This record gives sequence, C-alpha cells and structure tokens, in this order.
Amino acid sequence: MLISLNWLKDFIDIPSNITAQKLAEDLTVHVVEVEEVINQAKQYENIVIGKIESVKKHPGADRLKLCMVDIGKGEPAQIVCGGLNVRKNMKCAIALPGAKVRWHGKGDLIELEEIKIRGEKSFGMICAANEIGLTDEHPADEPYVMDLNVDSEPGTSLAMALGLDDIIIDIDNKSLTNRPDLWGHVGIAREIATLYGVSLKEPEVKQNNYEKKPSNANVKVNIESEQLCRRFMSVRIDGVKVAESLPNIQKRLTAVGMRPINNIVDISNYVMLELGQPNHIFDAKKLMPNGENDGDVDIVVRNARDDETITTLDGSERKLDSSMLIIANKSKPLAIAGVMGGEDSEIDSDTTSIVIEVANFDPVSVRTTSNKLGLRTEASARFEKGLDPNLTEIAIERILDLLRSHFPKAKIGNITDVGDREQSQTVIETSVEFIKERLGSEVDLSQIESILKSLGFQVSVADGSQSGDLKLTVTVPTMRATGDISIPEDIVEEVARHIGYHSIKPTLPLIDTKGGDQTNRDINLERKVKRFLSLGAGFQEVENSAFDDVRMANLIGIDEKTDEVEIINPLSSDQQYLRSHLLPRLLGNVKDNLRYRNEFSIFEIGRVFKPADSSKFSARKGSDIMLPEQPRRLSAVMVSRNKDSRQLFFDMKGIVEGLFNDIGIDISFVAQNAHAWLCDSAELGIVENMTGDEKNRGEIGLLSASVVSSLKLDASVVVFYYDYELMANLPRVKTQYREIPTLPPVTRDIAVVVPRNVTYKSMEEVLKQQSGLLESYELFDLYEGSQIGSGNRSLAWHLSFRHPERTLTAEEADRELENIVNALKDKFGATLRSKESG
Amino acid sequence: MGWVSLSYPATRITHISVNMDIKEELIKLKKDALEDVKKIVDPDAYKELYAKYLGRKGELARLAKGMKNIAESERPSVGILVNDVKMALESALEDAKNTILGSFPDTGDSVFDITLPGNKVNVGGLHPITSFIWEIEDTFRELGFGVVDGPEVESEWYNFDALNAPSWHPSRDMQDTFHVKTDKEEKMVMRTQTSPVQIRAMETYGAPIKIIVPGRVYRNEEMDARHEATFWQVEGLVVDKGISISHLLGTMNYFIDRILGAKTRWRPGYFPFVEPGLEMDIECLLCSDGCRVCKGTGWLEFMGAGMVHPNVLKSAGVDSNVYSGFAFGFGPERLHMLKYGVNDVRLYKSGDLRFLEQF
Repeated sequence: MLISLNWLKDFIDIPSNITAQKLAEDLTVHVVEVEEVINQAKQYENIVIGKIESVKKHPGADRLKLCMVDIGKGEPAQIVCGGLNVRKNMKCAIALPGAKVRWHGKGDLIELEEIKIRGEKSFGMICAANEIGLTDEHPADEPYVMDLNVDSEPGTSLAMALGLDDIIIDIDNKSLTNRPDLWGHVGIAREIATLYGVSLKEPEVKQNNYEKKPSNANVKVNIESEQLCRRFMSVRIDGVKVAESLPNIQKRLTAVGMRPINNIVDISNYVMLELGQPNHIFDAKKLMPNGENDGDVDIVVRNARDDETITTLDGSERKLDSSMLIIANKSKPLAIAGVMGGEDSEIDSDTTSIVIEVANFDPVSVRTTSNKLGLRTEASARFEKGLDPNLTEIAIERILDLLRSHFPKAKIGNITDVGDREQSQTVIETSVEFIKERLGSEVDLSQIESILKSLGFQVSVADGSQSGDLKLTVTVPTMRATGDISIPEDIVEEVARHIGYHSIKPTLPLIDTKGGDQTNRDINLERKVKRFLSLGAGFQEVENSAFDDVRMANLIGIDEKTDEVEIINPLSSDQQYLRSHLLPRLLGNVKDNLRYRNEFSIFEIGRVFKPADSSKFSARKGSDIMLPEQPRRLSAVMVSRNKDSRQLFFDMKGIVEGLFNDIGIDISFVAQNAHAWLCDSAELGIVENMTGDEKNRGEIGLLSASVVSSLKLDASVVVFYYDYELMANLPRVKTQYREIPTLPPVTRDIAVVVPRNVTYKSMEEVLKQQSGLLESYELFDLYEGSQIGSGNRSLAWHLSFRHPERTLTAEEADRELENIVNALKDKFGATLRSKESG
Repeated sequence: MGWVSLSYPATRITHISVNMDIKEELIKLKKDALEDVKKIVDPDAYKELYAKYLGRKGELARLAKGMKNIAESERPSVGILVNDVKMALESALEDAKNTILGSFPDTGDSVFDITLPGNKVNVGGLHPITSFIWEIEDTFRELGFGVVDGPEVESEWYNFDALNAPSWHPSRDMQDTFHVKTDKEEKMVMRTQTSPVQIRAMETYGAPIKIIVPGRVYRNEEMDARHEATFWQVEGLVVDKGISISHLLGTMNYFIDRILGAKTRWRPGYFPFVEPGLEMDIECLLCSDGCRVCKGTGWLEFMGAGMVHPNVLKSAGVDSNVYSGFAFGFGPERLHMLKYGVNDVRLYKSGDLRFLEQF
C-alpha cells in the first residue's frame, strides 16, 4: 500500500526533525513494515523543462535529429533525439548528464553522461514517458517524447513543474494482515500521532441533517443475507456532471498509484484510500428497472444464484454461485459485494444521478468469493481484514462532503442506513503488573495510558489489590475490535511495540530443561552415521525432494498407486506422490552426476511415506486416527566407471560393516535374491540381506543389469538401504577393555584349495571352531585359475595364535594349524596348497 | 641429478687488487656476497655460493690467509672484521636457505619437490544445510534446549487449528498448502511449518519446556531460483512461568551473535499463534549501506517470533494462566544463501555434486 506524506499531513503535524527516512524506520520498528521510501523530487533529479529552439536532421543518421534546446542556461544545448514528435517550441522533459533514466523504458536505471552519438555531441536526452516512469500520466511511450503542456520556464526542475513534491511510503501489505484500521491514510496517521505524541486531526466531516430512516430514503435496501452484510448505507444524489476531478485529488491518487478516471469515481477511491472504507458509486438511472430518470431505487443484498453471471467493471463475465454475496436490483446482479461493481451500472460521461453504497461485508465471505473468482481488488483486500461497521458512517459523510465541493448545487437525498450492526463493546481486564511481566521490563502506568489513549482506547485504572497492582479496564475502539484485539496479550503488544522492542532489555531465561532428552540422543546417532559416511567413507550427503520420481520408482518395483501417499493438489503431475523409498531420487542423482563424474558415492537420510497407519503419530492427541507411516530411511549408492561391480560391492560391504561396528550394532549378512532390480539372471546371487534383528531391514546389492541399461548408466552401481528407525533401538555391543597381551603370538600362513562353491563364511566358521588359541585371522589371497584346476579356488590366511597365560611354543601352534587343516579337509575336501611359518 | 635449476644467478667474478687494503677487500667481499645471496633461487645456487664465499677454498678463507702478511697491530681489528663478514654471510645464506627454498635435506639422488600436490584424501561431505543445522542445534543445546522432531505429513488440526488458525482464518491462505489424500475423517496436509511440533512436544513433555525443531516443511509454490516447494525450518519454543519478551530477545540475540555475529532489529509482526508477534531482522550480510538484496534498508528479514498465544497453550493442554512462553521460526536455507552468495535455492535439493562439494 502506498501512503502519501502530503496526504498524511492533513491529519497530523509531523515534528520537523523527523525526516521521511526516519519516519519510515519508526513505522517499520513500531507499526508496519515499510518497503521503500520514494522521494518524487529525487527521482527526477537533473531532469528539467526544456524548450526546443530548432530541429534539424542528424548528418550521420537518418532517424536521428539534432535539437537545440533552451534549458535555462542562456546558451541552448545540443541534444540528439530520435523522438518522432519533436518540433520547434515544444516543451519537453530534458534529462541532463547525471540524471537517471531507463533506456527505452526497460532494464535498470542508468546514469546519463555527455556523449557523442554518431559524431554529434548530445548534452543529455529528451525523455519519453516510459524512460522516466511517467507512463500513467503521459500515456504515449517512446518513440514519442513527452509533449509537456506546462507554463514553467526552461530550466525549471521537472518535479517542480509537474508538482511532484510528495514523498511516498510503500508499506508491505503482508504486515497489514491483522490491521483493518491501517488500510487508509487516517489509520497510519493515528499511529504516527502516537509515535511522536502529537494530536490526530480526524477528517472533518460536517454532521449533516439528512434523516437516516429507511422509510424516507430514496434508496430502499433489503438485506436478505444478514449474516454476510452487517451494515449498508446508501444515498441518491441528483445533478452531478461527470468531468475531471479537482487537481489536488488527481495528484494524490496518482501519487499513491491509482489512475484518475473521473470526478465521481475519483472521489470514491479517494475516500477509500483516506479512511480505508471501500465504497461503490452506481449510475442511478442504470439501477432502475427501465432506466427511468427518477423514482426510488430498490436494492437487495443477497446470495447469488448458481446460474447467475455478471460482467464486472474490468469487462470480464463472471460466473456466480450461491456462496457469493451480491448487490442486485429486482432483475439482475449489480455488483459482487465487496469485490467489484458491474459494468452495466458504471458511471459514464452521461451520468447525472448517482447512488452511493457504503457497506460492511463479512470478511470471510469476501475473501472466499475473491479467491474463487481469482479477483483481488483494493476493496476485497480491505473487507477481508474485517472492517469497523461504524466506519461506513464517517465514509459516507466524507463522500458527500467531497461531492458537495465538486457539485455545490447537487440534490442529496436521504441516507438509507440498514443492517444489524449491534455490537457489544470489547472490554479487556488487565493490569500494569501483567504487562510488565510479559514485557520482562519496567513500564509506567502513564506510558501505558498515553499509548492506549492515543490509539483510541479508553482506559480506567483501579488499585485492585493490596500488592499495589494497578488493574486496568481497557475499552477497545470498534475499529480494532473486529478480531484484532480481544485479550490482555493484545494490549501487551500495543504497549510493547510503541515503547519499542529495542527498549526492552534482553535477558536469558533460566529454566529447568525438559523435552527432547530422547531426541537429543537420536540426533547424536544421526550425526555419528552421517559423519562416518561422509568424512570417514567419502560419501557426499544429498537431500532430495519428498515428491517421488515415479519413473525411477517403477524401475525398482514400486507401484505409486498402491505403495505411495498421494497429493490432492500437486505442483505438477510428476510430483503427485510422496516417496516411499529413497532410492528412486538417488538414482536420479546418479544419472545426473555421471555427466560430470566417473566415480562418486552419495547417501541420504530422510523420511519416506507409506499409506499404512503410523504407529507413532495420531491426527490429534488421544485420537485413534493415525497419520500415514513416515519412517526415516538411510540409503547410499556407490558409482564407478573404473571399478567392476564386484569390487565396488565389497567396498560398500566394508563400509557398511565399518558403520555398524562404529555404532556398536552386530549385523550379519545372508545371501539372497530379494529383488529383481537388485540383481537379475545375468548376475550371481550377490545381494546380501542384512539381518539387524530377526527381521530383514536392509540390503546391499548390485543394481541389476536391466535397471542399469534402462537408465543408460555406463557404470557399476552398488546400492545400500536400511531402515534407519531400527538403528536407534537395536541393542549395542558392549565394549570391554582387554589386557594388552605381553606374551608373543605365533603366526602361521596357510593356503588351501577348495571347490568354488564352498563359501568363505562356512570356512570361517571352521577356523573359529577348530582352535581355541586362534586369536585372529586375515584373508590375504584369493585365487582362481588353471594352476589349481577349474572349479576350484584357493584361499590364504594369516593366522595368529596366542596362549593367554604362557608363551606358546612353535609345536603347539603347528598342532593347532594341523587341526584346522584336517577339519577343512574333512568338511570341504580342501587340499593344502602351502604352509608357511611366519 | 640435483634440484632443477630454474635460473642460474650470475655470480660476479671479483678481482681483488693485491694492493688493496685487506679491510676494504673484506668490506667489498661482504657487499658483493650479500648481493649474490639475494639472487639465490634454488639449492644449486646456494651450494655454489656457499662454496664460493665460505668454503674451505672460498674467498673469505683466501683473504683470511692474507692475515699473516699484515702488521701485528692491525691483526685484531682485521680479525674482528673477518669474523663479522663471516657471520653476516652465514646468516644471510641461512636465511636464503630457509625463506626462499625451505629446508632441503640431503636426499641423495631422489627429487624431493615439496611443491608437488599432496595425495588426495577421499573425504565426502555433509549436505551444506546439515552442517548448518548442526551448528544451530549446538548453539541451542548449549543453552539447554532439546532437539525434537515431528511428522511431515501432518493433520490439519496440528498444522492449523491447534495453532489458532481455524478454517476461516486468512493465515491459511498465506501458506499454500499441499493436501494429502486420505480416507480418514481427519484432513491431512504436508506440514507448512514446523510449528505443529510445538503442540506435539507440549503434549508429550508438558511445561516447562525448551526445544528447537529443525525439519522440512512444504509449500505449494511454483519453484524458481527463489522459491522451493520443500525447505527447512527451525522452530523454537520456550514455556515456563514468567517467560517474557525480554527472554525472547535475549535468547535470539545470543543465537544470532553466535551464528553470524550480526546486529538484530525487532519489529512488530503478525502470526496467528503468537501474541504479541514480532519479526527479527539481521544486518544485511552483503552490504554496509544498502543494496538490492536488502532493498537499500541495510536489514534482512530473518525470522518470525512472538509470545505463544494463550489459545496455543490451551490446545496443547498447558495452563495459560500459569505458564507463558515464546516461539520462533526461521529458514536456514535463506541464511545459507545469503552467507555464501548462492543464487538458486533449488540447488540444495539438486543432488548436484558440483554444488554440494563446495561447502
């Protein structure tokens, strides 16, 4: 919303030491957020009125002209110009070097310099309206330059010549959401008056003698939908003549961004911008059933019918429905209440009689209607905040005032005033002590009183208790009582913002902590996992959208329609389902990054969503309606163009083993063909299904050749995923200190040849069982080849034996080794390839 | 093979007149030698100069030999001078060795070029927002805050109604909401804010309570460089007897000071679940006197905050006559973008390693 400083000055005397900049800062810190302060004169710095003395062709360019321009400096200045309409004696806006203009009305402002154009000097430029932001006032754009019809002498600043001496304050509408009283200049002025302790001169409204009884009125109003219209005031005026409005009104409307239209419409807008009360003016004749020139006007305020339509002032035909409130005569809708008037009853150049409507409509109804129609207007923005029903009275008198000043001889009818506006006064009981406690700061009764009174509250004070606490009874002005202010905390806010938050001393609260104890442990675990994978194992953490990539999901066997949670109003059809697995998006990451990288590893921890009921989150406390299941998952992917899939698989397996070992969770792996997408017939059974507890909650495997090829991934891809929720709850392996051995170990290496189908794991079991003195073992060689016969492989271990209490002899170690070798022979038909002592 | 000689210094050949006074010769030697030392660029040159001046058959040794030819009375002063020149040269050569070349132990024939790049350690990285949130969490944990979490698909009741925003409330329009399909009797949404966790946490832990809630939130907004449909929010809640605006200011000023070391500005703001409602600005991180990002004001909007509305305490079963509290919420991505000059918010969820690895 734009606020004119000159307009504000009708209602307050701003102290002379307060600059516009300071005022804007104070408004921001105490009232509403000011986005920008626009100094009209400053915008037009170095732009002056010039009078063209001569025009001749530019010798070097057909489309350009050389103009000699009187810019009030004695000597005329030469300016090169392409304007089609330049002619001798024309007065123009001349941007001199140093002025800021927008070339051809586009892009950023640039500062002019004296330059040569095609070999001819140009001392500035002759401006088109869009080059200096005056399109509204001077609609012809470049290549036509502004042809100014002004009396000012050449050299006069443009701002002065056009009367652009205002300062405009641009207020962020969002910060006005809860303040219906601030949607006009008077409201802002009231806050400023409170800020600087000056008095507010409310707009002068001459109390008139017109009767307000509906029976005598020339406009008969019947409110059918009483819930949606609390008050409707109307009056008929005959003998008006449509023309331009007074220059001061035009200037102010323009200053705050509203284009002047004609005197009647301008007055309507002017009062809205001044008081914040939207209103509408109809052509009276067009309201009559047969376009009669006189007679009573009958108006009904009712809900529209589902089949009705109206063409609004913007020329669009709007389909109405029964939820929308309209203003109608007997035959048709005339206006959409609180949103926009109809084209049929619009003021035009022939209008001589008018009907004014100033009403109070239900905020929710106006908002819903305006949302449904996609039609947001100055009026709807104000109504939807909840306006004071008493404001209609002030507004209608103000409109009549302004009409009288334009049409002293007009005949003003009786005012209709209908509606059930009875409203109980809002009275809040609070105390000085309560306000102090909430502020956490000292504040005087006198300060509280002066702030509240200046803002229109009534305050009465009573010494309510022995403790000396002063009880306050605060009566809320009706303009603040439509939802904005209703509880003691609201009074605290009025005081707090006016004394200023910066004046409250910041302190830290000292309280017993509670809450988050469990979750603090939880985040410690998450940090441990993330650190291990990133800093330890070289993975980059990624974060993906919660909306699934359905194509990728289908590839790994997810059916979005049955497995996933659906969004009713998605951003786009490819973001309609919530991810039920982290992998689809990660595969997208893999594909994207393979464009730039040959080898990388990524992981993500995040929530996935499933249609099944959550066991953790209900829709309300105690309710048995549960939210969808949304557990956290961990997933990691390794990608390489350099390593083959099997190498990469063991890299991943080692990392997973390391990760769980670091956290202290015992896991084991079971080979299994669990999913078609993890391995297919072309691959061997190298999916390892992790068993963290009895249930299988994670897997490592190669991405199947079919998925790899359908994604056109020319790299090995190994994936790992795990039910992260499980991690927090699994039992931890207890770490126990063992004495550092002082006795020496005896080491032996062995290599055995076994049939290929004997797994490492089964041989490992034998190693562990066969010798109580085997302290550690390490596989150091694996060989398959012609030397040992096809169908066989050779495995070689370093073995380390140690006796806990005494030095082990070489003979004892050899005996242990013998046992192991014999057991391997018996169980697997192993043959000894070599045996070495270390 | 030795060190690679990049540019061989031109060493001056010094002709010493036999008639020249030995003192003058020493002074000239010192001057020439110091000039030469300045030109040392590699170890070969160093070794050569060392040999030339300080070696057993070097210039200084040669001149010192001449000592025997001078008068006995002159010897002490010449001796002092020889010593002085020697020390000056030693010190200059030592400096040259250390500062210009670094240390270069004798490694026989192998080249030890310390300017070769170090071996790459394959460290991955945390997502930039993760590290940022850890920093935020740690700051609040030092103040005794717990860190809690809640569901991302949330009931309308927790996301709006319990937060003093009934169905007709305009604030529901302010946040474009994703609605979730369900056959349940409760309406469900992708949470538009982390604030519903305020209610859940108070229900679970009661009062007093002191928590922050980092989490993902969702808005149905067309995505562009400045808008994401999914983003992070950090919510905070403190409830106890006698909690005041002063406590809100103190806590948040402390936090901002720790994270950014920036000044703050507090002003009125409106959020249905707080009363009074405040907004906090921070000093513009990009300029000192107004730029495009701060719209020339020198301040950047940073967070919404306020005193917990009594209706919110009531929704969560906390007695608003006994307890009061403050709450706040802000977006870490926006802060991260400002701090590092990131110009497209969508990069955070792109999975693009060229972006993620920069932090």
